[in-house]
Amino acid sequence: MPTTSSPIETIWQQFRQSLSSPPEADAIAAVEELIPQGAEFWPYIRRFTMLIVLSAGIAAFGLLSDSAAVVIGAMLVAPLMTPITAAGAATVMARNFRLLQSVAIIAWGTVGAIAVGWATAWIAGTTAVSPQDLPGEIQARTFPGLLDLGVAITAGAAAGYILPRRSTTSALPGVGIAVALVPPLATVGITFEVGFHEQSQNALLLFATNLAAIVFAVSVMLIADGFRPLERAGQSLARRLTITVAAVAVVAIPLTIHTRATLEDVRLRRAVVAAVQEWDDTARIVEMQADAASGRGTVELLISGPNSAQPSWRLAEGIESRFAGPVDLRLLYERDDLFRVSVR
Amino acid sequence: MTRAIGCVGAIVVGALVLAGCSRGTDRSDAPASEITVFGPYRDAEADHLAEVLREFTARTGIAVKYTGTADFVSDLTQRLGEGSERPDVAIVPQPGLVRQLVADKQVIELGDGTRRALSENYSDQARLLGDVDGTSYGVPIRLDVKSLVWFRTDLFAEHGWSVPGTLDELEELAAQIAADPDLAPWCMALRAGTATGWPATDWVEDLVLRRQGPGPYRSWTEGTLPFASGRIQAAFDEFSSLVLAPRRLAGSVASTIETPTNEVFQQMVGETPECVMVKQGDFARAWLPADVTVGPDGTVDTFVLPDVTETEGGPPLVVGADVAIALADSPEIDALMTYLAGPDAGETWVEAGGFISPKSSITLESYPTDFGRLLAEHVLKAKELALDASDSMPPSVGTTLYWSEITSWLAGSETYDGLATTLDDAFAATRE
Repeated sequence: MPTTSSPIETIWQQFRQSLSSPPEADAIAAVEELIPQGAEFWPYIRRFTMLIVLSAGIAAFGLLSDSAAVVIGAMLVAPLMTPITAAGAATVMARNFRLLQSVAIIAWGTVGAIAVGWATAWIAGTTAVSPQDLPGEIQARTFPGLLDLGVAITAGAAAGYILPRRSTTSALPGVGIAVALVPPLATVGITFEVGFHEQSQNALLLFATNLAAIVFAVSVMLIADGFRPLERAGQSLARRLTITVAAVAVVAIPLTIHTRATLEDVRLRRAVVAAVQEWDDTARIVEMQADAASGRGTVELLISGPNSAQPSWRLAEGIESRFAGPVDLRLLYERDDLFRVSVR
Repeated sequence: MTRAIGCVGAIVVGALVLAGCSRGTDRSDAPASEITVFGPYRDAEADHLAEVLREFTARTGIAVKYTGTADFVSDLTQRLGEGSERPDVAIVPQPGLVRQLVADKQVIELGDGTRRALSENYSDQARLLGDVDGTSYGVPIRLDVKSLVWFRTDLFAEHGWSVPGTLDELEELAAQIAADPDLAPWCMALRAGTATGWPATDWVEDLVLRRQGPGPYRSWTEGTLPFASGRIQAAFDEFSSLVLAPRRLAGSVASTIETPTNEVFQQMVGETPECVMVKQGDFARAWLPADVTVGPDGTVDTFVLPDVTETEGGPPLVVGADVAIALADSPEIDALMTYLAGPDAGETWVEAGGFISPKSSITLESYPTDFGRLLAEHVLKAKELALDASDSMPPSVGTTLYWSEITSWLAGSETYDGLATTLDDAFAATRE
């Protein structure tokens, strides 16, 4: 060992030291107790099932009525976080039976929440005839992107940090709100019932993202806390971690495609706003639909302004040069009419 | 208590960086010598033209930017008026506008190379569609065959009717059909916003071309044979007796004015048809329901509106033509015009369907459908191609005014003399 070391080397040594120190007995107990064993197991499953049905019901009604507050309420009732963090812990600690148990509970909860969402939509009914008619709370869960992956990983890391520390469990509801699990599942059920299968797939992708990212982030945090396999050799841990990383990578692919599509739309919208400004700086955009697909922009605009319309082709060329791709524009221009009336 | 949150943070940061990678770059490499083309094609048609233009860029390295607008005529007039935003090349669907722009000295005469390409790749009839008073100004890009009659094949077979060979036979056929209490010979639909009435002008044009011949037809479009002439009035009279007389139309004349043009087949292709025939251009294929087949064995077939007598090569055709004209002079623009007149420009569009090329150099095999091949064959065989008269007249006469006058005449709120006076006066005003 050198007698002097750089600050970076010092930090690295401290980091390695923290990794190698085993967790305290209370921390291990806290993780072990996530899913009760023996005589306590089936009562736990009953409680879990009840809470899944209730939280998915609350979520479904909240989604259909477009109420963010109700949906957040459902997140606090939702019991899915426990088996998912338990799956992460079982991965790190190489507890095969626990891992299978957790996965089975997650699968049971997933199916239950989707079924409740489906049934709620079937009973309550919805007037949506196209995906655009769906309530905003539902739509928000049908277009996952890389930012959702970021949320899930950080929230999963928070869960992994809280898990072995009983003194911090008051923070756990925050994790549940940040990375909602039941609302996406209720959305899967609702959109499936209405017949919007693409939206169902996307909401399921959002759930899968959250699931994979939480298991992964919880595992990483527990390893950082010194958790290691209790029964088996270390290479088993490496294999398990590889599987969780692969799961994250698999969900990241469709998320990346979604995110790219979103960013392309944003780029087109920026091009439209800038082009309209240059086209006629007195005009304002009343409505805009901008869809960028395969480098081609389709824009529908409702513009209002005090002057007569400037040539539409000039606006389309302005958008095209900024967006750097073919553009199809449909423009409806409304002349502002100002009426001033006084009655005495 | 600071444990390895950093590694999770790194993952999140990595995810965000990944998300940020997909930003595009603004285009700043457009060459100064880019040719600007302005035309009426939008959406999928714009893609087909862009493909044709991309091939030119691939061959020559000269960049071309195409802009297409639904308000082509007014937009082009405005661009030429302002001067600074003048396009280099325009694809004009109205020959009357080309004539007017030539008169205003806005159009560059075609170069030797382009004229040579025209004579090599076009029939004489098709090549002349781009001429104004014997001088070559335009390269015809696309044709629409307007002189078609669409008919129900099963009704023809059931009643033993056959495709008429002459105009008199057509009149006899119409009389036979009118004798059937459940059927009228014709359906017609005229409502099209400010263009309401245009299908009626197509009827008159075909009758003028057949009864008076191509010379007087051209004189009429140029304003030297007035509407007030008995030769033109005869076409209106024949249109009246053949199509508008009692029992000749499904519904009333008033109802045809109220029916949108693209719904003209609704009374013909239903289970209880009210009419047997519709006269409309080839583009009406798009107005037929998807399950209706076209051809000798299909639900609906077509014949060319017959001539006065049966002649070799078939009856003359009234066609709509989109013509490319150069509005600026440079070797690059000349190269583009020569390419457009060349043997293969437009072939990809022909292969995509829904497009009739005026070029004889593009073979019938290139057309993807039997209907497309049939139309191309009509064009190649025709002894006479005449540009749509209303499109060829000055825009101030041939577009809105002629359409609204013929609609008023059909509705009975305008006499023929009133129509003739209004339109002849409008013609006179263009010469002042």
